Amino acid sequence: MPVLGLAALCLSATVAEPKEDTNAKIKAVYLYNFSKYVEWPEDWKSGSFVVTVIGNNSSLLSELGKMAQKMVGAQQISVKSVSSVSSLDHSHIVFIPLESSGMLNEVINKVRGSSTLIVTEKQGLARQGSAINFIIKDNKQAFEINKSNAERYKLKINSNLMKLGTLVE
Amino acid sequence: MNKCNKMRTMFRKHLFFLLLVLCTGLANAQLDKLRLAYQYTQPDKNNLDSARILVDAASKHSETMNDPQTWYVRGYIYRELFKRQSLADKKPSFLEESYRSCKRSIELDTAAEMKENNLKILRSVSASANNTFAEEMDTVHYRVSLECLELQKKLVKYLRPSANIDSLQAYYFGFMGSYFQGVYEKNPKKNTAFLSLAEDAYNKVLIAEPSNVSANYNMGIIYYNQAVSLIMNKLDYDFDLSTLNEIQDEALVWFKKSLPYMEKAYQLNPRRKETLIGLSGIYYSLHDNDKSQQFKKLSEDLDADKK
Repeated sequence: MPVLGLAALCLSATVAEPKEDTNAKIKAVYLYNFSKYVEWPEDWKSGSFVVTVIGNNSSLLSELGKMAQKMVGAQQISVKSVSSVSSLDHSHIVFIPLESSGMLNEVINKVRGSSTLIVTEKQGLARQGSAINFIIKDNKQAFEINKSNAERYKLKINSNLMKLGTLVE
Repeated sequence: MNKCNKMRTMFRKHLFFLLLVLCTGLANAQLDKLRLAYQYTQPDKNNLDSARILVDAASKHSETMNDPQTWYVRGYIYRELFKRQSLADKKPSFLEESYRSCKRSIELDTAAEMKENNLKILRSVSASANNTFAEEMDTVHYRVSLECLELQKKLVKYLRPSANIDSLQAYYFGFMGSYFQGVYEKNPKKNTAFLSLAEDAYNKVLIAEPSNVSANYNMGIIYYNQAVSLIMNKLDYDFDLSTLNEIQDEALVWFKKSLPYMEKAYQLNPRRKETLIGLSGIYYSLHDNDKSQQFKKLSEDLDADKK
């Protein structure tokens, strides 16, 4: 079979390899949406809107960096990451990634009395103190809402968000 | 040297012309036309258009249409017509005509006196089809490549009846798929159409060779990248949660479509690093972290083995 000059060309074509963190993007969009569907008390509606991530989840932080270009009402978004709960400061949202789930109680103690939306991503944590817990449902990112846990921090959850999430008590 | 000797010298150089002379059954006028047609192909005349008119006429004339020499000359002239075209203006139809003519010549040549010469042209046509397939593979001329491929399949079938056409098809379409995929990946927004061309090419590879590792992997990557692109490029922070949900659903379809191809590529070659990375990525996107980590570890183990 005459095949001239094709082999070298055949090997030169490029194909993409998977490299982008789609899950981080989806979580970041969710977190931004939570800021729109949750109402903070009036005294939390000035200054920066602070989102703090516990731990150093680089993909998520990179995505949240893009979110920081947005506004929540009149508030500029500020994204922070802390490696220990002792460094946790005034935050509108605290996200505790799966690998930092063990810090939930520490976070609860730290933010007691403030209006912080605690978001977690481990099965059962909505029953253990978080207001919103990311879950996987049918291979998709979904979330649970514990309304009581939100109200404990003087946060009002929009009914539309309640409809889209799974309610737990 | 008299005129007759000059002719003899020229005939010795060109076998087919010698054959023309040997053929006594041809009417002189038609024979002259064939001679003239050949002469027009020579560098000093270089008038292929006239050669084509003459040989086409001969191929339709009752006195020459059933003569193998007519078709041999025609095959030769059409190959020359193709060869003298610029790359930007290549017409595979000339190669097709050359192929049809030589084939016809062989059919008519019951004594097989011209068979080897016809085959020589056919092999040259096959090489031209192959080279043109590769040369014309760009975003503008790729249809020419496709025509060359179709012709090449016929030629290979004819020249080597025992050749594995499926393997040939897989080889060419694999090349084509990689090229189209590369074009798409360079500029997905501008080159959207090339993605379906790549998908189509890989499908043809897989029809011919279901166990082709690269085609399975690339098919998996095409679908995987579709899903990734939806999430990374289409999903905007300003979208509401319902839209986010819809995009997740759409991406999920692509991820799930990607998985069996990547799994197949893995079954066929479990030690191919790209496939392991691909599977880790797909399972990660499907939120199956255990499997994602399992394939990630296999990929890392592979690296460790190489050290």
